[in-house]
Amino acid sequence: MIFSTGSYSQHRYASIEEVAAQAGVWLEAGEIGMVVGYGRQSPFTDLAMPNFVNRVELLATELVWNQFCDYNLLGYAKLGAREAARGKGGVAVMVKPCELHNLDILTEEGNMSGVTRDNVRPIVMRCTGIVETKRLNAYTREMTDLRVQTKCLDCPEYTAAHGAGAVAEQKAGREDYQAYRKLIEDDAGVNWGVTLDKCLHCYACRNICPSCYCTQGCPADEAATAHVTNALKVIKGIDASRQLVYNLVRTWHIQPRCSECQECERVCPVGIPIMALKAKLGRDFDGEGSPGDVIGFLTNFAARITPVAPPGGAAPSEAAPT
Amino acid sequence: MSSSALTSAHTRVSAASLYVPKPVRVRKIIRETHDVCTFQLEFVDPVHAAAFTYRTGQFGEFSVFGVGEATFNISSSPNWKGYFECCFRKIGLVTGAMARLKEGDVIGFRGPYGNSYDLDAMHGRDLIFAAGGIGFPPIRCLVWRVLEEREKFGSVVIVHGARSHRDLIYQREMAEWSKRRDIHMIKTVDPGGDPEGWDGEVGFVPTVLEERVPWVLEREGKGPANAMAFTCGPPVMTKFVIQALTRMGIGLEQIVLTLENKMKCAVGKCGRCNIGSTYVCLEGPIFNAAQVRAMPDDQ
Amino acid sequence: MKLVGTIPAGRVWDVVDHLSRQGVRVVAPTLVDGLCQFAPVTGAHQVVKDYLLPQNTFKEFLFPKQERVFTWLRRDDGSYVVTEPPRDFPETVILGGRPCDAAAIGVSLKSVFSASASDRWEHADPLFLERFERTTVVCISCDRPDLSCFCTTMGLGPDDPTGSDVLITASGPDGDLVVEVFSPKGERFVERIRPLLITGQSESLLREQRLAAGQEARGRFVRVFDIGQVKAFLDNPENFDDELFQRLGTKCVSCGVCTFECPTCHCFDFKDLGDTTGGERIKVWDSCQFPAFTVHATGHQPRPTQWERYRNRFLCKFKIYEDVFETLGCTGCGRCVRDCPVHVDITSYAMQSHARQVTLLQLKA
Repeated sequence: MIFSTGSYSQHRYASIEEVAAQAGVWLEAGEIGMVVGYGRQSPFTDLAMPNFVNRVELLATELVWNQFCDYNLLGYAKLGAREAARGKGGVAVMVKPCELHNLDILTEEGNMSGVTRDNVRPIVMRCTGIVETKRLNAYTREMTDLRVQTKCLDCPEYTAAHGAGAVAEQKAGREDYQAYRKLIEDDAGVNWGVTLDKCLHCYACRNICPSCYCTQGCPADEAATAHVTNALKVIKGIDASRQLVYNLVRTWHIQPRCSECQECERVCPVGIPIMALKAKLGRDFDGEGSPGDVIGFLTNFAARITPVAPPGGAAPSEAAPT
Repeated sequence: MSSSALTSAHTRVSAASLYVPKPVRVRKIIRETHDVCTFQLEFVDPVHAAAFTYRTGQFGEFSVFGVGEATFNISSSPNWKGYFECCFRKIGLVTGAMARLKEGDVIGFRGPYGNSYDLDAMHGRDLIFAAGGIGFPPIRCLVWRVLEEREKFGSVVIVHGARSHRDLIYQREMAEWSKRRDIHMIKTVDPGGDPEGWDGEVGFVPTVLEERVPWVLEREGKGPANAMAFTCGPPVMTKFVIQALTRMGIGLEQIVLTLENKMKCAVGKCGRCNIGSTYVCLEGPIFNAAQVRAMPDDQ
Repeated sequence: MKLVGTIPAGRVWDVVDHLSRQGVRVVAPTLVDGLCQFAPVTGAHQVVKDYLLPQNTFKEFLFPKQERVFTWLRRDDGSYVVTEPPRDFPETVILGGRPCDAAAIGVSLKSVFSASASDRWEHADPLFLERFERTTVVCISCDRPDLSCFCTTMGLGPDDPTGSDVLITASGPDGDLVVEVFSPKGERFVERIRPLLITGQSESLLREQRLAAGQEARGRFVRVFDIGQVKAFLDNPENFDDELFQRLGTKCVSCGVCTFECPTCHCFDFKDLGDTTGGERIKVWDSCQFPAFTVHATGHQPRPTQWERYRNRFLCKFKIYEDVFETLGCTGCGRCVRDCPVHVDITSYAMQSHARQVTLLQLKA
């Protein structure tokens, strides 16, 4: 995780009442057009769906803050420019301390992202850890105990809240944390051909990324990657799968802006270890190749990751079992 | 154990997959404008040619192998033997690749798909055709079909528009139709698109339609009640054409539109041409304006 | 329906070894790279026995996420040889499917790829249907839901046999598995596993125990709500621009998770790989949530904003499927709720549409 070094208020909002009190003042003064916050998903769970509130009287009832508020609302930061254009100043966004680095990135590239310190006001919440929400809806029965996301274990505010000793103990006891750290350093155990073949081209990793702000001309979009895939085949004779090309192009393109928030990995429906892929790219291509030379880069990389037919056929292999 | 086929009543399966095109040869290329081409096509395989029939207004899927597939109306009359035509504007990947082809090259075709114009319902009626730009081909096949049995129909008025005179397609046919006494041919270009010496109208299709057509019909002693109008073009144009026709007293049921939604499969499977619950590829592309009015605003 | 006997508790996965030895491809819940998915297995040891619902649906064994439609090769004279790949699909048993998926794939998705049941169109997709004919869907009833399951709300249930060839339900004091057969394909499956079956028990007792097990599972559902007026709300064109669509739909981040995990989503695209001299056209899954899905070559975009695209998906599930394909568009498997990156919830749309229609009716009255 990369944490913000920007200058933001050290104040932490502990409750929705506090958020409502402050945001209410901003709304009434016309300094913001709305609050981008978390709202209740449904009567059946405590999960949070994004909620955009623009009326003072609804702030306290329509917003929620709990341990299930997992995604990063800065994905909606471009609404700030929209509100500003309407003469409403901008938006206030509920953010967790670990997400401030994304706001740094968005404002640094504000000429392209449209995000400025004026049109996006962070409401930094006091966060004592966010749980892995996927476990609420377990695909298998054994995964029902709730536990915090692995990234929380590296967070200074989480450590401050729970004590360094307790966190160190959690780190030692969490196999998934160990596995994650290990995978970042060494991907030898990953069969990238099989793993990337599971990719559905759903673009969840791209669309959830809080550092991605383009609305068009994405180098990882369908047409662009299809073109690259074809070019690789025709020009270089390399048979790279669409899945491989998409994942490499996206991970590579976002590399300089990545805050390692692991949202892409959280939302991936098929569990591709995207952070390990990012680390691998960082290791294998440190200083090599020109940033614009996508084909050269892919030629180089695809040769290292040869798609392998999965044993038993994870991909739709139609061969009868032997 | 071999699997015994248990085919239920509605799982009839053909030998070839639905999505496999048949090779067709580009017999002739007519460069209509700087970016619009007409292709005359014939099947490479005589068996395919013999089996091929279509109705006026149907469409097909045209493939450039290695590039992709695009949807066009079959712009020729079904009575023309030995070949069929399509007309396209160079605008995307597939049409760009098609524009680079030469006579004799081979492309893929599957079709025909969709519904067609109801010619029987048009007998004895006065016909107004109003189309703009690349919206004219789906109307043109009908015009030719009507001209083949001209005596069965009342007055024929054609309003054909384009952004500029350079974008006006089917110029030779227009010239031919202009000479005929049984057709009122009105060509128009958008304001600013008229060069010196331009002999047609200047104005948008709906405006010209509303200014000229009532006058033409009146001169022949015709009223709106027996008229039928056919239109195709950009969504904004058709919207105003319908408004103009309505003001002229022509009912929504008398106005026929060809919708052009994006399609991939053309057989109701790929799920992208729907407007509300209407799959344009299965129930269209030809609808009357009353049907279109009843559809949700998802166009 | 025919109740043919029981399989002793704990022995159901022996079916995998039994069928594999007979050369049948078995698709069952298994761990693929750490993720519980439907995938081909050859032995009981590969199966995740304690599963609720695999992340993927088994639709990808009938409608693969990527498949070759044909290949082309240009000859020297400029003509093309267009070749379809052989459709020699293997005989497959989906073992451990769930009733929501069976209803979605065996009935709804099949109706999309078949000729119209009411003769509205005749196009049938052999790529789907020929696989379907060689696939036997053997479902195991769920004994409990998770927080996102809502099949009972959609009129199905954890032990509903719609779309299944065989339904296996754990019931009775020992948890023995009662086997019911619903189709000729199911009969053939039972013939294959005959040695594993115990027969001769009292049929009425088994039936009673099996119904009781289903009732018990139904009682455990959490996500239960009323959708009675949803279709009526959507059928009224005046509601097409209702503020509720915009309010809820703007939250969607425009990814395709919900559509790709959905057992009834059928949209696809064609892609050409290769060049004019030779290559293949593939049919790949596509999603109505992507902006490029409907955009015309001219740049005209019928659904320019994300909330309009989400509205289309909602309409598709709760209206269009019923109007066009005359089947259920959503069977309540809950995958779109479970895996949405920002927890956008189709059931909250349904609940609010229902509530809106109820209010409208009250206002009229």
